[in-house]
Order: sequence, then structure tokens, then C-alpha cells
Amino acid sequence: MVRREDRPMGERTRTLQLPARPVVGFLILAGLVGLLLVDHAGSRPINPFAAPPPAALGSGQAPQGAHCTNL
Amino acid sequence: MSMAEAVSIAAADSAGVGDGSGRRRAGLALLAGLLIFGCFATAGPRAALLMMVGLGFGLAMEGLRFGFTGPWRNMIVARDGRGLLAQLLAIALCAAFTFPLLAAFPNELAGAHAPVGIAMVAGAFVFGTAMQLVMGCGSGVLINAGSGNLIGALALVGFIAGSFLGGEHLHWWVALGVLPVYSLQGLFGDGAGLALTLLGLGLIAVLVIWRAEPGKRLPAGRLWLAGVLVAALAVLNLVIAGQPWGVVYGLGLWGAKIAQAAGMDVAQSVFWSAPVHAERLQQSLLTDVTSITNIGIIVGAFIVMGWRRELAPQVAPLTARNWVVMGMAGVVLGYSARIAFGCNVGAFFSGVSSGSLHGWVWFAAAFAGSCLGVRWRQRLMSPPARMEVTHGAP
Repeated sequence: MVRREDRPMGERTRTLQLPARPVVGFLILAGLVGLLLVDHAGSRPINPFAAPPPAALGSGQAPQGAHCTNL
Repeated sequence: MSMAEAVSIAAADSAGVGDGSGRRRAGLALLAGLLIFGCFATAGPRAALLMMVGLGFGLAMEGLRFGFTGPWRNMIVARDGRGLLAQLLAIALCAAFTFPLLAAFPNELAGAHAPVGIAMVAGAFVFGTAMQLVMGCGSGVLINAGSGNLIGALALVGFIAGSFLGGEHLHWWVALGVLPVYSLQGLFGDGAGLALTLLGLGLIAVLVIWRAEPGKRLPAGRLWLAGVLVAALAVLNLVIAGQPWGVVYGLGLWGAKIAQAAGMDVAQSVFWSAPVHAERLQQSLLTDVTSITNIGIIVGAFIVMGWRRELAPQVAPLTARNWVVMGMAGVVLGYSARIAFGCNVGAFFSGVSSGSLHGWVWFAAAFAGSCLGVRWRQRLMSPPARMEVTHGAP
């Protein structure tokens, strides 16, 4: 919804009536669900028998994840 | 807010049974439980544990109002050093555990080590500027979006696009010139590296206390608590994932997944054709450690937002110009974080706490950029947005 309001200096401007926080929060969660669905459709299926040990520490395996410090 | 006040507010909130909040809170607890169980059932115990860590970050940072952007802004504008000191405490605590762990288990754990370079420094400076425009950094954008902050939601979308684009151009930026990867433990040894890290953090803390105004020098109890919790969660992240806490990589991967679904041949790019990134592109997001904790942070912040009896107000109305500025700043935020080898989390928090020289350089450049950013925010934002209610842990 678009409404007009007066600024203190009298200048008129157009501003938007913003949705409440729960609405935005739910939209973000819905976006995450959508992302996971898109990902599920385009990624290799997860093999539960090849899942890594619960923790890297003590696993005897080199870290396999990617990080923002990787080139 | 003191810790006693925070506890009393939490207790008062807990008494909110019978006004509908009890059912809402049960639903939020169920959401967290389902998320953890879903990760366990589909991707195994490590994914479930990392989701718990991510939820913990979100709950601690949003619940105790621990952030990065706001405290930097407060230090620059109001000489209020309390939030920044809490950050330094958290990093020092994390380093005290991370250095010995990396030394003892070099084949299982890795630090957040990256090279210092021309684009890295410039990217950190630009990131520092942009984070003040959107009032959110890497973790802050996730927290703000999850807590229903509309600017945070817009910035998150921009961040995803920007970090994906930054990855596409990363090799060009790196070709401008980088030093070898230097770590303090590599240069001086494990013990001396940790000592130098703690000394550096201590010196900055002294500088902050010296420059801060009286009454704005020592953090409130909730910030001390938040610093300890965030440090503990970051160490757990390292132990479980094998690598330090990060944010940017996951968001860039989300952008790549979306671009791929839209028909773009992402896998042919220089960045995503590298084996480590190609593997992540082909595998489910639920096997990517950074994506899991990012989702956990967003949902954790959402839970805190819903848990509170009284909803915080939405940000103040924005003009069209404000929207454009925020959207562009979100893209710049993601792009600059990618070419800077991380944001406030991956480069600053995890870089410094695991001994990377680039973490220190990142901090200096980003703080200088923030000094510019707080001025630009005043100039670029119209009066309504300057009165924005900053909520959450930016």
C-alpha cells in the first residue's frame, strides 16, 4: 500500500506501508524452504551410509568443507 | 541492559502463558526440534550437530543483542566501546582454544587462513562501508532477516547475489596481487602465535577503553555472556565441522544453486569448476557446513523474534531511494566479502582467532571503511530511514 506523508520540512514523499516482522520472518523461512527444494531437485541424493562421523575432531579425516577463505 | 535486567525480562516473558504466547513458543520449540531431526534423518549426525550450533548462534546473538556493525558504529559515532570489547573478548576466548586444537590435530582441523592482497584489503574496506549502510554484516544480515527486519531481508537477497558474483570474479581480483598465506603460528610458532594474538586483542581493548567515554567502557553482563556463548559455539563449530565458523561461502553457494536452477552453466566457471567448489555445487546444501549454520542462525533469530511477548517494531518507512541504496549495498556487501576472503565472521572472527594475518588486515581495513560508512549513511539515507529502529544484532 502506498501512502503520502509530510516530512518535517514540508517536503512530500511516497513511502510504503511495511509488513510486520512476523510476515517478513515467515517469508524468509519460506524462501529457505524453496531454496532447499530447488537444491534437492538439482543435487546428488544424500547417501546416509556415507555420512561423515559426528565430529571432525577424532575422525581421522581431513576437513572436507569449503570456507570463504578458500580460493 | 544489565544481566539482571535481561534475566528479569526473560523471566517475565516466561510467565507469558495464557495469552497465546505459550502455544506460539511451543510451536517455535517444535520448529527447532524438527529442523535438527530433519538434518539428522537426511544428512546424518554432523549436520544435526551443526544445525544446533547455528541455532545457538542465532539464539545467543539475537537474544542477547550481540553483533558487530552496531558496536563499531557506536564506537565511531558515540565513543561507546562496550560492544566492541565484547567482540574482542569472544575472539580471544575462541583463540585460546582454537590455537591448541589446530596444533594438536593438524590433519583433522583447519584454520581460516587466507592471503593478504590488494583486492582483499579493498574488499574489506568496501565491506566495512556497506555494512554501515545496511546496518548489518555477514552474521548481522542473517540475524536481521530471520528476526523479520525488512532491510535485513533485502540485504540478504543482495548478499546472496553479490557473494555469488564475487566468486565468479575472484580469480581476476586475486591476480591483482596477493602475498603468500601467513599465519601467526606459522611465523612464530604455536605458543608465540597465540600469545601475539591475545596481546594484539588486548592492545586494541586498551585503545578502545582509552578512547571510549566514561560510562561506555565496560560491557553489560549480557554482552559478557554473549561473548562467552559465541566463543563456545565457534569452538564447537571448529570441532564438529573441522573448520572455523563462516558465513559468506554458504551464501555464495546458495546464489550458485539458484543460478544453476535458472539455467546458468555455473559449473563451467573458474571458481565453481575447482574441485572443492564443484563438489559443493553437486552435493546437497545439507552437506555444506556453512549453509547449515547459516540456516540455523536465521531460524534461531526467527525463534527469538517470535518468543518475545511484544513484537519489536518494523523498520521505519523507506523512500524509493532508500530501497535502491539498501539493495545495492546488500549486493556490494556480498561481493566485497567474497573478494576479501570473508566477512566479519570468516575473516575477522575466525581469521584472527585461528591466527591468520589476513584477519588482522581485514579488521583494520573494514573499520576504516566503517568510519566512511557511517558518514555516507547520513548523506545517502533520507530522514525517515535515519530514524530507523535498529533491532536485533546487526
